[in-house]
Amino acid sequence: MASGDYYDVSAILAEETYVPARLVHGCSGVGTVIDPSSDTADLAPGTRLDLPLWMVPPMAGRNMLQVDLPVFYGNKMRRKMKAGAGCEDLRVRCPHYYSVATRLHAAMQACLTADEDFPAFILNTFRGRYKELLTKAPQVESSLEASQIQNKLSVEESQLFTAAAEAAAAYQRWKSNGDSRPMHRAQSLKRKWTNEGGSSAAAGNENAAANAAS
Amino acid sequence: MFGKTGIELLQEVAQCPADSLPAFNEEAFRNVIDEVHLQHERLTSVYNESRERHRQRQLEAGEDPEEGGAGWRGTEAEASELMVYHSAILRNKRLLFTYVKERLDRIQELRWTHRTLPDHVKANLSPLELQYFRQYDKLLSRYMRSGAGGVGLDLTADPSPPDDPYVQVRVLRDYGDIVFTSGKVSLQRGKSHWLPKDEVHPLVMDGVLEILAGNS
Repeated sequence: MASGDYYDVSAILAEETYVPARLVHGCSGVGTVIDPSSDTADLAPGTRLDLPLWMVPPMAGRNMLQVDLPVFYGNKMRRKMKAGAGCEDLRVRCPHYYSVATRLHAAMQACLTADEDFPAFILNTFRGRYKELLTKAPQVESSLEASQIQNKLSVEESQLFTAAAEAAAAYQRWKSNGDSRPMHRAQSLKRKWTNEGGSSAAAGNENAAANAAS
Repeated sequence: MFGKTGIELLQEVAQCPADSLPAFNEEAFRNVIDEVHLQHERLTSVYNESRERHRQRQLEAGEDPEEGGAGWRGTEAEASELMVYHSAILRNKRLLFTYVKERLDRIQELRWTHRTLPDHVKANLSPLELQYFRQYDKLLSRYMRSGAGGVGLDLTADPSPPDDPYVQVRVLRDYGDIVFTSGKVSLQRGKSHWLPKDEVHPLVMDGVLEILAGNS
């Protein structure tokens, strides 16, 4: 975990992803908690189970776990990605595809089960998909089309897609009337709750008084 | 699995639209803390048990129990169990911290964009959060006041520099007569005026005026 991520909600959500692991020494006491399929409180050495990603790095670093790659990074997936990375629906498989990959690889390096081809695979996947979403984003016509594309993107890609679409829209505005700024911020601040109680009316009167004074 | 309550709690805030907040979930918050207490209790008891066992073994073997460094002498399976508790406690702590921080960030942001708390947000705050908002409000107001230590500017007034000092606005509800630097204007619902932008901004935030598109 990078220190800057501590309060980052999406990093926290990414760490909820479950990854397969093998308990090297077994585990006493908490068997039924960490492995729902187990009946006993003690797990034997070598038990395979799925653990949330947040639990993995501290245990992998102490050689208590052997971490494996989840299905969505497996060989079958790699073949599919090689065939056409842009077509895969990452939102369904793992919404935080890339952040999970980086964290997982660090944990796997710590317990010496790292797959050396894995970073290259992730990088190539991202490269292919990024190019595709970047070319698609400026051509999106309707919000329906945009949401159809975004439904297949991982959370990280979705942010890039939105940014690309906004940049394209700003460029269009600048080309037509020389103003790249979107709708004025004060406008977007317009309150949705227009019928307010007495408290805000009082605040309004203060404004009036301030305006009168100036 | 450990940490379930915590992540659900955080998701309540994360899924909420940016300008509002769900009610402070005191119950879930307490449940997470109880979970941590339970984990800590188990952690300490497992640790002490294994130490005690080690002590007994040493006594039986006729060794001095105080000899040798402190350190883990239990089985690896127990060590794994301790790590499960330990990482779960840290995880829960992080979830609760983030829950509180995410809420405070939004409360703070509302002070800048709306100046006051809208009622539907205010109703959802915990007493401590209300106190936080009041003090933050006080602090920011004091900083913006002219005089000692203040800058004498309303920093929340105009977040982006205007192209034209005057803007065209439409009046959304009757507001009576207001004196602007350009003269006295009577704000009646439905009328539109050309007014100085910096003076108009507070009224826009109050929902009295609306800036007409195409001239910003």
